Amino acid sequence: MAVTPRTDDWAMTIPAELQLAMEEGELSPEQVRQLITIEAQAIGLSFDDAVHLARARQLPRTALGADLELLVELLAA
Amino acid sequence: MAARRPELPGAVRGFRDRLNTLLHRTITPQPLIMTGATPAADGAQRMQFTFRQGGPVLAELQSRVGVLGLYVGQVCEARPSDQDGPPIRTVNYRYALHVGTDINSEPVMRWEFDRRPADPQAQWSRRHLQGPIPLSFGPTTVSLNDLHLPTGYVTLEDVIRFCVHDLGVPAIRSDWNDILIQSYREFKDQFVGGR
Repeated sequence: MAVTPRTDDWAMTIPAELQLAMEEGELSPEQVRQLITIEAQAIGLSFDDAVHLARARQLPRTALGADLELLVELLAA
Repeated sequence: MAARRPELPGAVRGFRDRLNTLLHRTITPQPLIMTGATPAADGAQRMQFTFRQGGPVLAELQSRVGVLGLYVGQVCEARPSDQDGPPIRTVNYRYALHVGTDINSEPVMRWEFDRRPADPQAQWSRRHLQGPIPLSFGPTTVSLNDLHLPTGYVTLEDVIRFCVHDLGVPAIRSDWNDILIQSYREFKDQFVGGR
């Protein structure tokens, strides 16, 4: 699985509804998966690949990789 | 109209507010944003805290070694009020210092904690320090990234102290040391049951 950081400002593409939910601090399970999908795509990964690599602690050693690892922890709850 | 989910426990919001008050009085006005998941069947609920503007961001810090980016990420678990023990406990933390504020850069050092690694057979130290730092063992050089250098439980107060005292990050308030001491006491008393 190739991990390729995107250089565009992908965070600007987060849907307004998801942004609002994050500001309120409450995400549904579907929204957590949506956020993981968006961040995974930012490094060229699918949702499933990102979850697999996060649990294997094999994501890039970057802030985005760390954030994905922690978001995946929310799925386990 | 969408059904309203149950309110997050007050203790969770209190925990987030405590961390943000601490940060805003010491090294950065950047707020930690809480992302909560729906409660599990047993009533436990997990939340993630990180600096976020849509995606994750680093808090920019001026230091005696140049501009640094601070990453703070925590996953905490709020437990039902009918369970014994502290109302909130940390499941994972990630603290990292980057040169500059590019979220795609590898940090200089990372403090990490995983209460329950996904691999149940994992035998490495749950609380450790890593980074792309070469360590010489006589003729052999090993990267700290290949080791799990054990640490104690590292608090946000510890990281802030390191930034101010050792890296020369200017403190927002002159009484930063007293603020850290008081905050640490509150953390021990209120959130980990004095343990």
